[in-house]
Amino acid sequence: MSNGNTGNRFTPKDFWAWFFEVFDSYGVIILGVFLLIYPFIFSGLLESIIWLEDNDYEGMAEALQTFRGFVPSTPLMIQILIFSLFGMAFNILLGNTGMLSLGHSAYFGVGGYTLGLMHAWFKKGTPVYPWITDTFKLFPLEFSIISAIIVSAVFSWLIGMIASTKRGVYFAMVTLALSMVFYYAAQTFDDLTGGTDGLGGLANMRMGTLNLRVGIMDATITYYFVFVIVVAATAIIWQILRSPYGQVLRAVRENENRARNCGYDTAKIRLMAFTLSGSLAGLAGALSIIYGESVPIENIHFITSGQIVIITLFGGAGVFLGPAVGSFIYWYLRQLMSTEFVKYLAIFQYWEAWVGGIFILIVLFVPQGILGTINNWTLNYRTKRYIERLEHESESASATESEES
Amino acid sequence: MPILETQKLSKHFGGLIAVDQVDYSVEKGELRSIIGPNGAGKTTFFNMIAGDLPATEGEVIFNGENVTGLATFERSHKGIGRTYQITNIFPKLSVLENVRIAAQSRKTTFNLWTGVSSHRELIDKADDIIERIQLADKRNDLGGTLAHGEQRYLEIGIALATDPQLLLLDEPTAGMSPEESQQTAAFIQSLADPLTIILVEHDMEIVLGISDKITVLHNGKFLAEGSVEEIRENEEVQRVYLRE
Repeated sequence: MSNGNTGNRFTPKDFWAWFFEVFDSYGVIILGVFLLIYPFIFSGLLESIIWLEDNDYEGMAEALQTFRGFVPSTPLMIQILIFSLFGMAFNILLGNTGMLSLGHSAYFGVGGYTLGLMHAWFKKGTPVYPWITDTFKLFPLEFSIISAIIVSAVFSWLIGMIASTKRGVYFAMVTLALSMVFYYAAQTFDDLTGGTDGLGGLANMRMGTLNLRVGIMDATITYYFVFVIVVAATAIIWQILRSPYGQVLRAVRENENRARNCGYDTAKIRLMAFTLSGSLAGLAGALSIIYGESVPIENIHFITSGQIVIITLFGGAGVFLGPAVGSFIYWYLRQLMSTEFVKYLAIFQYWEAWVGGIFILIVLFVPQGILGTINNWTLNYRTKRYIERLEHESESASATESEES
Repeated sequence: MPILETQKLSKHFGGLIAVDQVDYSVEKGELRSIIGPNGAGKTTFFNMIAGDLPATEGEVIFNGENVTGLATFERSHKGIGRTYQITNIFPKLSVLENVRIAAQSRKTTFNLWTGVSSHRELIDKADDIIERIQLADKRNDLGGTLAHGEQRYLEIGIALATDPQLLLLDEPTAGMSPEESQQTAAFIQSLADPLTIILVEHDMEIVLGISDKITVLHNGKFLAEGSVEEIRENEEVQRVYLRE
């Protein structure tokens, strides 16, 4: 690629040209490959530290140990993947339909509790029909994940019936209030849900079809299990957003009144978007239980709803992979501050304040989010290149013309 | 049979009677105009026909069918299309998307399993309409970045893409220069028949030039109805307009 600079020096302009080119053409592939091999990178790092220690390279081992603190661990990556999915599900509403739900923790939590309760109930000694426990024992994860999607779809449909008739701040407040109903329900029925302690001790996180044991014992397997489901769900969301229905969502976001006048039943469209988003959030919620093998009650609390708003806006509302980027930034920063930075500066123990500060800066200065802004840059760069090419072509055309005459 | 009929159609806003027991009837293929001073109830009348506002009293009959109880989107499917006094488009969608989304409403809404680009016939139809509203060279521009006059045309294009039988145009020339207004008038005239058009206008010039029949609305009531000459010579109409 020529940028018109003489000599072989690698200028910043060259760097940006290279960056945009790669980002544009291979960004998603690079991200996918990186995520695919991540557990090996991380376990390779751990193993090399052990190897160095065993072979008496103390200094290098120590240096690598310090470096390890700045590398997200596989369990953290599991969390990041799950919140990417949650964020993309949330973005169906916020970025594409223009509905700000402040109560998405409800469906995230319901998904988690469904999976948790099924594991807690359907085991030996529970007074249910034996055929239920027997069938469940064959495919525990399959059944509970599908149930989590169905149950959260039902709940989000019911809540959507009430909430999606409201707009703007009223919609936000109704979803928020109704999600807190879920929280207090989880707190009140504590013999069922474990109350504020959460629902713990969920054993046998097993996938029957592949005879795969996931859970806290094996982060790598859990990572791949979550990875495959998140990729599949991402593909589904991508298809939804590129479909004619996805286009109608954008029309509703842009101008609901006009969409209605074009013959669209916008109430139904909004309700369906809400249900789709809620059921995918439920899937994310179910996945979030697997590694920890317990359901923390915070999952269903407003804090989780706030988190997902922050994550989505970090990456960019309406940008397809925005929430994935946002999720990485959010969890990585949180981890860095609360475990690494705090070693040097005690003030970093208040990581919420720092993340909040960064959130304010992003909203003020890059309102399209980080990925949204990079996307815009890439688009600008591409347009500039295109115009340059056109000018170049017209120049050379006029040059040949003058030669001919 | 008239394509549109209203029977004793009224709209009350609290104590204010915006539209008062209006009987109105339009034949298929006509280009009709409704004029009247500010606050005469023209837009409210439109809103009740298109379904944006529920009627307080009376009935709207479209193609012999009572549509008074139907929602806006259902009336759109029956064949009532409209534009607004204040430009009402999808500002952050491209011109093509603006029109295509309107055309799509006749085909599919809850289609989740195909891609937009695989519905070639919708894109072709949209391109056809974009050609007609003379925005072909701005096909991929965002609706919100167009000039005011172009946005007015785009809005007519959106309405046309829904294949209406009856088109309600609410001050289509609002904010246009005199030349643009003349062009728009000619464009509207070219749309009429088989399309039935009802035009609400402030600009008398436009209305007198192209209408088959004019209705004058004043304080929510019909003051006069007739051909261009009849309205021009009507003393009551002159009184209302001169007093302004």
